[in-house]
Amino acid sequence: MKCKKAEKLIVKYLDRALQPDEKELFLNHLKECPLCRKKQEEYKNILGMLGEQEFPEPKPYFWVRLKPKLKRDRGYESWQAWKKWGLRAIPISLLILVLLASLVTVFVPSETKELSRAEVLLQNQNPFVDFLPLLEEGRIENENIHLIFTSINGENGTRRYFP
Amino acid sequence: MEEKELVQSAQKGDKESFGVLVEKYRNKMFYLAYGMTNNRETADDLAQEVFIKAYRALPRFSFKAKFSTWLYRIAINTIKDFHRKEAGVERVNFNNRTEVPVEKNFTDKDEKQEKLKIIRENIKKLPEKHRIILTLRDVQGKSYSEIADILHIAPGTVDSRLFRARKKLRKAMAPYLKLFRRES
Repeated sequence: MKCKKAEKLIVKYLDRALQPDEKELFLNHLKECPLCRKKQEEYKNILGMLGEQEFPEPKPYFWVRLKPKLKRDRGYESWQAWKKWGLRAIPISLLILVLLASLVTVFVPSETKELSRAEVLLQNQNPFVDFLPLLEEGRIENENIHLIFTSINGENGTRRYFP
Repeated sequence: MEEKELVQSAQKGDKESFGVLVEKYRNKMFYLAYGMTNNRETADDLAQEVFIKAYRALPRFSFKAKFSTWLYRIAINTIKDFHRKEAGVERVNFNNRTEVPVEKNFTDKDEKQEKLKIIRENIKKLPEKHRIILTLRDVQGKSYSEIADILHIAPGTVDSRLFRARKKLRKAMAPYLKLFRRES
């Protein structure tokens, strides 16, 4: 076994994490190698020191000081509320929308599309079809006036000038 | 009440249940922070911050990991954030400090204290990830698998990182170890 490999095993050995076959090889190497024995001693000392460390206690009234600082994450709570109610509201609101849309299509008459004159001509329609009632009205009026004048002319025979 | 019940109760907003959990893990969080900062005041503040964050995030805790593992993860992240913020100050204060071991006679009384002081100073000089793994394994006594869970790394990575951390610490401590040996 090489010393480089043995050094890795020293640390595992001190952690009691060596496999039995590895352990045997390692211990055999350790017997023969004073350098690795020295290293093992050093690691042992260091790990011992790390474990011996004494830590001070936290400052007194830890919980008393901590309690007033505890607050829930508001953003998270509102997200939770949205998840609870908002996600349920989505299908309901979609259903309402569909119902409203179907009501609108059933009860509101669709607007007639106004065609351009070119489109009207293409469809072989009279482009003045919109004005026909007006023209009709005018025609009747003209006929009436014409009749009035005709009747006047008929009564008097000739028209006279009265200054 | 069992830990799971306490956590569930705290998730619903029961501060007293959370208080029981705080009492249980207070020292562990404090020691972890102290091991990483070497300052009682800072460690106390960090431990408080860990529990504040944990209480806020508690409704999101889904019992996929152990509560202690989850708490340690929060602690590690809090400590890392602290070091990131303090990085500039640290650079000014410590980076140019090279302490040379001075040959002096240790008395039995203060030898242990001196050793511990030196080892703490040398741990402080290690890279953050090595400091964290050393503190978790050699100070807090966490198992390899727990460390892997806390740090989100493979057990093999725990093995190699821990080895590198210990090797670096041994090299840094070598001159002092000679001194101590000579004294004893």
